[in-house]
Amino acid sequence: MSRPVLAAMARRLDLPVERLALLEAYDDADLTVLDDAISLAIRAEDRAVADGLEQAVRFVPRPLRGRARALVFGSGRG
Amino acid sequence: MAETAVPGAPRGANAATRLAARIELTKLAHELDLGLDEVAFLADADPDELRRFRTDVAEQLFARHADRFARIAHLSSLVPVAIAARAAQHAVGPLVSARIAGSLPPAEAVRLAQRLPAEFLAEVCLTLDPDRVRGIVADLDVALVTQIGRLLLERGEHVVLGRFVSVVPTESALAVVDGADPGDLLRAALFADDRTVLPALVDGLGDDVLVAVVEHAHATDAHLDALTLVTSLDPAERVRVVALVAGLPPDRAAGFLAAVAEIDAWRELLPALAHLDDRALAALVNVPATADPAVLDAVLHTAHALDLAAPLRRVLHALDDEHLAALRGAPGLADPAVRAWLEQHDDGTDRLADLLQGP
Repeated sequence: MSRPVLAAMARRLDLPVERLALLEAYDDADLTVLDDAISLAIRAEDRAVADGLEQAVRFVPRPLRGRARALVFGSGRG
Repeated sequence: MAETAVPGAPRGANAATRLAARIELTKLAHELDLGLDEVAFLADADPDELRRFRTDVAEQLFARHADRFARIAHLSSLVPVAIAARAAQHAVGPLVSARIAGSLPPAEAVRLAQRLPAEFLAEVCLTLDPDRVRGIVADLDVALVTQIGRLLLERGEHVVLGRFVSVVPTESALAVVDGADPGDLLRAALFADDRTVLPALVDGLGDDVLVAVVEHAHATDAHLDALTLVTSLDPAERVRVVALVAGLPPDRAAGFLAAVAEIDAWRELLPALAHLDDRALAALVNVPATADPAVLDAVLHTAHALDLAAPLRRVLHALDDEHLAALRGAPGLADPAVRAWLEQHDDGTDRLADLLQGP
């Protein structure tokens, strides 16, 4: 059974845990630092994408903005 | 870098592997915005596996929103390029612009990039995957690419420059490093993701620049870094650099050869030595590191494994008495396979015959 810290990292990276075999030899404390950094990087990416796209839509001429918003965020947002 | 250590030369790849791992860890730390000390626990990991892990992390960061990047790329085609450029700079920001760039049609991406300031594009490069924009970079104005590269160099972004070295035209890469600090040059080359492009770059550098890099490596005890690059070169460029090292003061050659011995890079160096003139060859092979029978044993085994009789014969002639005595102590001389090979190349007229006859 895989260690919780590796299982969590694998889920975060959307990888089979076997793909992280490289990390099995290391301490949980070190791996937790690594996993935290990955988590932070993902959150920063998500935030940058959400903010950037929201702002970008404002640059679309008003008559096309609704279509642009639907295109970028899906039809559920308006 | 040394490939597989040859039999009888077990000193081999450890230092080379550690250096390769250090390079990969620096790239991983850059990807995750961590300090090198925070990933140092992975220093003994396999460099290829570290590279795969780093690539997995980068791929996952991109894949989370890949469909949105494609849609926003489509959206940009709905607005004039001037507005798209303003939106990229003032709304989307460099990180998301970097992700979107690869989804844009190359011609549109080029038009957009030409309207953006180099400072913003340099920011974009920090998180841009060069493989996704290869077609775009190839069509960008050389002056703009050079300007961006110089900004990255000024900021010490060696990892980023190393990622792009295989994507930018050689002309631009050389313009970026023209007049650069030799330490910057060494580090950017060391972080090159694709080292196959380095021979073409080194070919475009003057001897004075290469000497400055070697001098920098000597002054900062970075001989291993310099040697790692030398082993990435093609044979002709390798001979050129090795000849330059041989022409420098003896302590430079001593440091360089000590690094060769440390990572067992004889496989790469021995063929190059054969092209040096007698004086240069003697300057390189008669250094403290090669006065060790174990080091000369590695030379012997490498020559045997690669059937490099001619280079070995030249090295034998260049060795002074002290080093020749050290070679006589090499265990490989008692190895039947090595001995048989040496005897095969013995014409009874040179030092090889003396060596086989014993002290």
